[in-house]
Amino acid sequence: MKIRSIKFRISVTFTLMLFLFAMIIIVFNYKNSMDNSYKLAKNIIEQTTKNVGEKTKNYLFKNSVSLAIITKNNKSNSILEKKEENILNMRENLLEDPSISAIYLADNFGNLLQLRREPTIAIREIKSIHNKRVNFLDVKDNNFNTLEFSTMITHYDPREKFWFQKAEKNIVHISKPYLFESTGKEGITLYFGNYDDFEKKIAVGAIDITLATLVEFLNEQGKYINGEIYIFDSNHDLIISSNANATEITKIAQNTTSDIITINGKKYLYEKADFNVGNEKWSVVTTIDEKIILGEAEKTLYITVIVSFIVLILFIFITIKISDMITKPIVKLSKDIDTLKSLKTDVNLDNNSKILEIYNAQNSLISLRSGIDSFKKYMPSDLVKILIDKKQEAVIGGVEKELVVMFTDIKSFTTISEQLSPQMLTHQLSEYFDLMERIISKYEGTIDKYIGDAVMSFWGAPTDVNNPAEKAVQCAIEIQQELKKLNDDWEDSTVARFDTRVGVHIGKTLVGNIGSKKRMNYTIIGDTVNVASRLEGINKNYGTSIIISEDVYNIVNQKFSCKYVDEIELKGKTKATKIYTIK
Amino acid sequence: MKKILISLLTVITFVPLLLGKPLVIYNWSDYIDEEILKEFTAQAGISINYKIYENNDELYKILKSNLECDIVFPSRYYVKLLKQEGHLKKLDLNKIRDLHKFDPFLLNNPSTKNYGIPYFWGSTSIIYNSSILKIESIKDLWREDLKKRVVITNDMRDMFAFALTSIGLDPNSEKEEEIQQGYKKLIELVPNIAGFNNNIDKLGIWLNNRDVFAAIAYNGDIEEFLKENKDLQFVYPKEGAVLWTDISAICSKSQREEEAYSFLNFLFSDKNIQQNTKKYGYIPPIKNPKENTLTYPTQEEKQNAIELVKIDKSYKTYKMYWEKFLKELEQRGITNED
Repeated sequence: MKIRSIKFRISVTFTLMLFLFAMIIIVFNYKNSMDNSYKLAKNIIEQTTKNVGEKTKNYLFKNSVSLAIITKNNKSNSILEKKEENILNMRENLLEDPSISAIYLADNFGNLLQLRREPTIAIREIKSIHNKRVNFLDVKDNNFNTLEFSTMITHYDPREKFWFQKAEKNIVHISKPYLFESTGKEGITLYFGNYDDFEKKIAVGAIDITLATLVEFLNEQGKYINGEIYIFDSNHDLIISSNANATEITKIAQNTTSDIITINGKKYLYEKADFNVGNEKWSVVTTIDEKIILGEAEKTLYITVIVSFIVLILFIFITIKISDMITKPIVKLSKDIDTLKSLKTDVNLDNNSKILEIYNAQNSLISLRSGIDSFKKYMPSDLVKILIDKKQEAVIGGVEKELVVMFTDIKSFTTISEQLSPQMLTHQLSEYFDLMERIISKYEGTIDKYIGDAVMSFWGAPTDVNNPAEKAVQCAIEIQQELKKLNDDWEDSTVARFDTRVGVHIGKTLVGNIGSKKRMNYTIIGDTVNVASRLEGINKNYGTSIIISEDVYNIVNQKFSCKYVDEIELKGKTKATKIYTIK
Repeated sequence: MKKILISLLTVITFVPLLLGKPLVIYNWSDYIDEEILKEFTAQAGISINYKIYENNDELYKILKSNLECDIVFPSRYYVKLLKQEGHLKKLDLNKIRDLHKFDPFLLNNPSTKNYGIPYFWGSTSIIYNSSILKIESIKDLWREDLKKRVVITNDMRDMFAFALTSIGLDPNSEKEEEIQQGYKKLIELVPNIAGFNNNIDKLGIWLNNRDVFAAIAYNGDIEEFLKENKDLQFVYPKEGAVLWTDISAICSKSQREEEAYSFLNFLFSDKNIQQNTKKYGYIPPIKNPKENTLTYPTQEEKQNAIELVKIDKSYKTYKMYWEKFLKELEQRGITNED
C-alpha cells in the first residue's frame, strides 16, 4: 500500500462507502417502487375494467325496462291508436337520457311512430292510408312546440327492418353496432316484441342508443387510469374505444390472458373482463402503457440519484474539512519537528487542535522543544546545527585542514576569582563569555570550547571562511576594544578587571568529531593549536595583549599595523619563529 | 309517332319530379289537423311542407323573401296590403268546388273578395256571468261596481277598438287627439281590471269561481266554458264586437297552382271543415254551421261588427299609449305574463 495523505484516504474511503450504500438503497428503492407501481396499476386496472363492463351494460340496458313498458302498452293492432300516450311515454324517456337517439314503435300495418333527437327533435309517423304509406314529420323546438310539418309518400316499411323481424316476445335484444341511417352516427338498437294471446306479434318497440356518449365515458375512464379502454363484441371485433387510433389492439383481445402484452414493441399492462349484454358476450380490455407505470418509479429514481449525488458531494466536502482538521496540525507537527531537528527552537508551536491525539502530540512537541532548549545551552548549538545541516555530525572522524586558531585567557584569573564573590564572578564571567561569543561569531569564528576562563576558537571549519586570518585578527582587536568598554562599565560595581591575552596562529590541524561514540566533540587537534596556546601565554613576557605568529603576520601585515616583538623557539620546531603584536 | 312518344316520355319523367316537389304551406299554429295533411298526401300523392308563423308581420316578411310559398293564411285586415303589393294570386273561383256553401258575408268581403277563401273566423267580445249582472254595452265594463272584476285582452288594437268605440270614436282612428282620448278611457278602466286573458284555464277558473264577472275573450277559447256553465253568456255589445277572419290564399310566386287548388278543395270538404272545427273550436266559414254555434253572431251582429284595418302612420302613437297603459297596470301588480 502506497503512502497517501489522510485526506486522500479518508475521502476515498468515505466516498466509496457512501457510494456503495447509496447504490444499494437506490436499487432497492427502485425495485420496490416498480413493484408497488405495478401492483397499484394492476389494482386500478382490474377495478376499472370491471367497472367499465358494468357501466357499459348499465348504459345499454338501463332503458330496456322502459322500452318493454312502452311497447306492451300497445295491446291493439295499431300503435297509432294510443298515439298521444305513446308520444308522451317516449318523450319522458328520450328527453331525459342523452344517450338515446330515437325511440320508436311499429306494428303489423307498417305504421311507425318515432320520437327522435337528431338532427332535430321531431316526431316521425308513418301511417298506412289507402294502401299508401305517408311519412309525416313534426319538427319540434326545445319546448316541444311544432316548428313545421312535412308529409310525403314513402316506401319505408318498418316490417322489413331487422329489429322488427328479430324482435321476440318479452325479450330485449341488442343489435350489433352499426351506423344509423338518419344521423350517420354509430350506435346500437335495443328491440322488444309485444305479442297478443295468440302468439301474434302486434307491436315492436325499439331504442337507438348512440355510442358517442359511451365513448365519452370511456375517454373519462381512460384519462383516470392513464390508459386506454376498448370494448369488443362476441366476435372480438372492436366496438368502441377511448382512443381513436385503436388499430393495433384489435386482435389482441382474442387470445391474451397475461398481464403484460407487447404491441409494436411497446409493453402494456393488460386486463380483460367479459360481460353479458343481452344474449351476447362482450369484453372490456384495458391497457396502460408500461412507461406510465414505471414513469413514477423512474422519476423517483432520478430524483434519488440526483439527491444522492448532491449529498455525496456535500459529504466529500465535509470529509475533506474533517481530514484537514487532522492533517494540517500533523503536517505542521512534522514541519516543526524538522525545524527542531536543526536545533532551531524559535518556531511557533500550536496546541490548538480539537483532536485529542493531535493535541497530545502538540503538547509533547512543546515539551520536547523545552528539552532541546535546555539541552542547547550545554552545547555549541550553532555549531551542532551547522554540523547537522552539513550532515557531518553523525560519525567520529576528522580531516586535515588549514585553520586559524585563536586562544584567549583572562589575566590573573585565579587571583580575581578569590577576590570576587561567587555570584559576582559568575555574573561577570557570563557577560564576558557573551561578549566573546558575540564577537567571535560576528567574525565567523567557531568557538571550540571554554577551558576555565580561556576560550579556544578557530576559523575555517566546519564552514570555509574567506580571509580567516584577517577576520581572526580583527576579532582579537575588537575583543580588546569591547572588553575595555565592558571593564569601564563594570568599574563602579566590581573590583576586578578582566584583561585578556590573545594568541593567533594559522596552520594545519585535524578537525572533526573527536571523542567516543557516545560523547563527541567537534574540535581541533594538532601542533597549530599548541602554538596558538603558547602565543597567548607569551603575552605575559612582553606585556602585550595580542600576539600573532609569523605565518599570520605574513598574511595580515598589509591590513593591520603590526609590531615585531621577538623571535622565539617553539617546541618541536627547529627554526625559530618571529612573533608580532598589533599596535 | 316518335314525337308523341318523346313528349309522353318527357311528361312521364317530369311528373314524378313535379310530384316530388312538396307544396309549401304557411299557417298559424294549431290551425289544420295534421291527419288532414296526411290524408291529402296519401290521396293526391303530393308532399307537403307546412310551416308556422306567429303573426301577420312574419308572414309578410316571408312573402317578400325568396322563400318558396304556395298557400298562406293571412288575416283579413292584412290582405289589402298584400294585394296592393302583388303577393297574392287572383283566384279563379271556378276552380273552387261548392262555392255556394260559404257564408257570403265572409266570401264577398270587399277587402278579400277574389283573393281568398275564408278559413276560420271569430269574434273578440265579452263573456260575463249572467247570474250576477247583465252586459249590453261596452261601457258596462266601466261600471263602478266592477272593481277588479274584469279581465281584458292583451291585444292593443282590440282594446283600443273597444275604448274608442265606447266613446263614439273610430276604432281605426289615426288622429292623435282621438288616440289619446282612447288611452284616457283605458286608464279609467284600470281599477276594474283583474288581469289578462292569456291563460285560458285560469280564465275558466276565474269565471267559474265568480272571482271575475266579465271578460273580453275570443269566442273559440270560451266555447267550452259556455257549455259547462250555463250562467256564462257571450254577448255582442250594441256598439259592436271585433270580428276577425283568416283567409286562405295562393301566393303569386307559387309554381304549383293546380296542386294548391287541389289542396284547398280538400281542405274545404265538408268532412274536413267539420274535423278542423271540432279540433280547434273556431267558427267555420260555411253558412249555418252545426258546430261552435253558441257564439255564432246574428246577421245583425255581423253587420254591426267592428272591422279593424291595418294602420301604419299612427302605429307608433298607439304603441306609446299602450305601453303607458301597461305600465300603469304593472304598478298595480297586473302583468300580461301567463
